[in-house]
Amino acid sequence: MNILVAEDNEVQAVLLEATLTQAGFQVTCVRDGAEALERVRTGEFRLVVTDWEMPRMTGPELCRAIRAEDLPGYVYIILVTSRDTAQERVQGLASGADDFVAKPFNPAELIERLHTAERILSLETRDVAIFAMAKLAESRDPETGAHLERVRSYCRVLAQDLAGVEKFKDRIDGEFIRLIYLTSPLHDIGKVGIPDCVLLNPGRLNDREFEIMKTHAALGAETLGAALRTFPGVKFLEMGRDIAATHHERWNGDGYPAKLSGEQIPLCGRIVALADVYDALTSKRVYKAAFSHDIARSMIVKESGEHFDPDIVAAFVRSQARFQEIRDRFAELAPTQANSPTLTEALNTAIAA
Amino acid sequence: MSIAENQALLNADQGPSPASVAPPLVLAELSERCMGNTAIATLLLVKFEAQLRSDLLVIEQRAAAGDAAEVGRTAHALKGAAGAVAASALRTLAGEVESQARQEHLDAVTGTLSALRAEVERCLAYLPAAREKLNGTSTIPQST
Repeated sequence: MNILVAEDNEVQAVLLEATLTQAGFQVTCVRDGAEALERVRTGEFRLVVTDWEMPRMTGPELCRAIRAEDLPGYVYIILVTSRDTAQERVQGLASGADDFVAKPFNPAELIERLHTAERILSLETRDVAIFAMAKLAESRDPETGAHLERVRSYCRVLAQDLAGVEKFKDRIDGEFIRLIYLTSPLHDIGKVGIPDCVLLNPGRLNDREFEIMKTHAALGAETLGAALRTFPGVKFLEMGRDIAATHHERWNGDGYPAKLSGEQIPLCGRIVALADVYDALTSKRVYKAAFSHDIARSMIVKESGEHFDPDIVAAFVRSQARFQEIRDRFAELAPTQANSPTLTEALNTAIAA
Repeated sequence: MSIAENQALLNADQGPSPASVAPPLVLAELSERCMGNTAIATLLLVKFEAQLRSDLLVIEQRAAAGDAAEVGRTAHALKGAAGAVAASALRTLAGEVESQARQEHLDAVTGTLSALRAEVERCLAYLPAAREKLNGTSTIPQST
């Protein structure tokens, strides 16, 4: 496996490179955190061993920067440092590091910790399985295309932005960002329980059909809740259940299924709500054209404090360039400058989808 | 051969000894850090020797200039390098200088500098013998 070593001290760098090479790893050494971040962005490295004190970007700064990146897979980070007070260990781990090794390091211990890292990285296949499960549920709906890929990317962008907002700093960390990316594709998993005559109806749903369609939120939450009862405390199941249950709730209490309002709605559900609606608005359906980003943005902004959490709308506006990048990356059909429907019509149609 | 080098060899020849005259580097520990690879240990000592000289110079110059931050950073680097080659006394002294500098107690740094300088000199004097020992060409008995 490739390992990136970030260490500015030449003696330490030589020792780390020699130790890891002897253990069979392919090692690349860089001398500061900023250079390390550039190398991580190439996607070549899923294992990083970093010093704390380095020029340009420290080890904890590097950890935070990596966690904020939109990377194809999880990057496991070990901080190797002589800063070994309890307070510093907490600070290092809170920055997003996965493990902490004190200098001078014992080579056998470091190698074993790297083997542990390899085992943990292999668990990412679990993440792939979760996504496959969501795709399977989605596969019954022929129109959604790359909907899940886009929604989870939008969610991550929103969470990354909110992580820098004082009000959310204590609630959104690297793990939250990773979990929402992992679990947001499960938002519509309850659609597996919706009859074909409703789910595959190409036109607008009548009131009765719409009531049936709305049950997918509770169905998904019940399914994931049952798994959670078997495996209590599993965070991705908790977040997945919360998202499935609440991604159609509205900030003003007019949503479904529980008519929750404001902060009664879990933060993850509020984030997915906006991401899901933005994607529905900017995607073509049998019954509507894809709206341009500008039209979708104006609709969402008008719903700030009504349908959506105002803080999340603000994060959306700040991050809109990244939304457009994601939309372009997973583009299926070019948006049209179709006549804009009324806001209520568009949102109701999108949400029913 | 300098007086310091003679002293280092003499100390090494004395086998088990008080901490004050123990060799500045514990070669058995260094070898263990390098998983028994002599070539790596030798390369580390070469890099260590170069860093010792430059770091001491920077610490002295920046302490004289009142630059506590740079003294702290360089002492931290020296501490790390000393730890890597199992030079525990030097590591401790560099750590003291780092701590004093980070608290901006440059007067205390000046006081510790003479001990640090002496330990650096002791390491430099011992390095040629250490390299010989690692390569199996020395008659110096293994320190314990």
